[in-house]
Amino acid sequence: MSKSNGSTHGRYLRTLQRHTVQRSRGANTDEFTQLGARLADRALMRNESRCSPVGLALTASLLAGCGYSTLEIKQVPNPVMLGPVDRIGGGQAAVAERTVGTVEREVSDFAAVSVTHRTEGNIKYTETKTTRLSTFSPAAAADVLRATEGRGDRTVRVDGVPAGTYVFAMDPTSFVMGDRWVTLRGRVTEVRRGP
Amino acid sequence: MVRDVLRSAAAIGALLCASGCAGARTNVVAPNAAYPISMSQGVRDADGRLVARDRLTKLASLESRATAWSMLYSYVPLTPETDISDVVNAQVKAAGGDAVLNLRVMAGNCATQWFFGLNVLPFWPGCLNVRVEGDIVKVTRPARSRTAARGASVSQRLSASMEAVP
Repeated sequence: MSKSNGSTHGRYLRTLQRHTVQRSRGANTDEFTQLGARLADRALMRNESRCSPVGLALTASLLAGCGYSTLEIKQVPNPVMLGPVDRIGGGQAAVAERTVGTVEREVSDFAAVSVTHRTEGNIKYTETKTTRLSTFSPAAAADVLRATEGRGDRTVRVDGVPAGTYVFAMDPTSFVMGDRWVTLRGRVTEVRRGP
Repeated sequence: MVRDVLRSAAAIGALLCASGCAGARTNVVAPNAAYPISMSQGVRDADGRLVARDRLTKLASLESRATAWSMLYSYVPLTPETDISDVVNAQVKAAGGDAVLNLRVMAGNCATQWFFGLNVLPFWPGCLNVRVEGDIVKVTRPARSRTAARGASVSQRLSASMEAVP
């Protein structure tokens, strides 16, 4: 007979549901992640009566493994330029361009699932923790707007967009975590007019 | 006694074999792009002014997929840079566009991360799926203002009348 810590489950279930809602409102919603969240919901609810470690590993893989973290900067009028060409017609930025600040924001999707077991008397307790930390693209867009102050003469110059992932497991039936991220890292410059 | 030790060793060995870590990282760059690439909806005209949105027409979507590899639990990137210059140049040229706007960079895990028995080995490669998407746009010329058009027609008439004078 297995029994679970209902309050912990409830808290993480609420956390997960909140993240699910945020994701569905966010810019980088993808069906794999939603599927992962739904499976996590079911796994957590199912754990009220029975633990399914393999299901949890699968859940973690769906939460942190499948799908993509997306960096996109919507609704921002200031150019956020990648590469040497900064204007129509192939012109390049003036060497004397003045840097007035920097902007940095990581869009990431971290998930971890852990299962612990303990026994008190005749009762076996199984505690499942699902943690999800996500930063979405609108945060990056807000940072760009803040850094450029909405001024038309300001451009964000990006030399490169770092991206990465990892998956770590310590006995995949007990603990699995994964992360994927894309980083916006740029210089805010004041642009001189003229070709 | 010996059986217990062997059983414990087997359990520890199984745990270690079942554990693991794998990952990858890269830097998406475009050092040889011949067209402006903007991650937002803003781009500058040849004179440095921001192009108005009504002058932008989307022609096609840019799409690029790449895989980046790393070893030693992602500490040694085998694909430190993912260059999208050639993809951008080819697709924008094919579409007849002027620029790429709304560039989106996406990062996702790939299959080698999930071999838990093997990714405990330091030389087991981790990998990263990189997707890059964007809008290829054409910039139309700015509409000439009525004053400028009137000024041009006056100057044309003047030059015509000057030519008519013997």
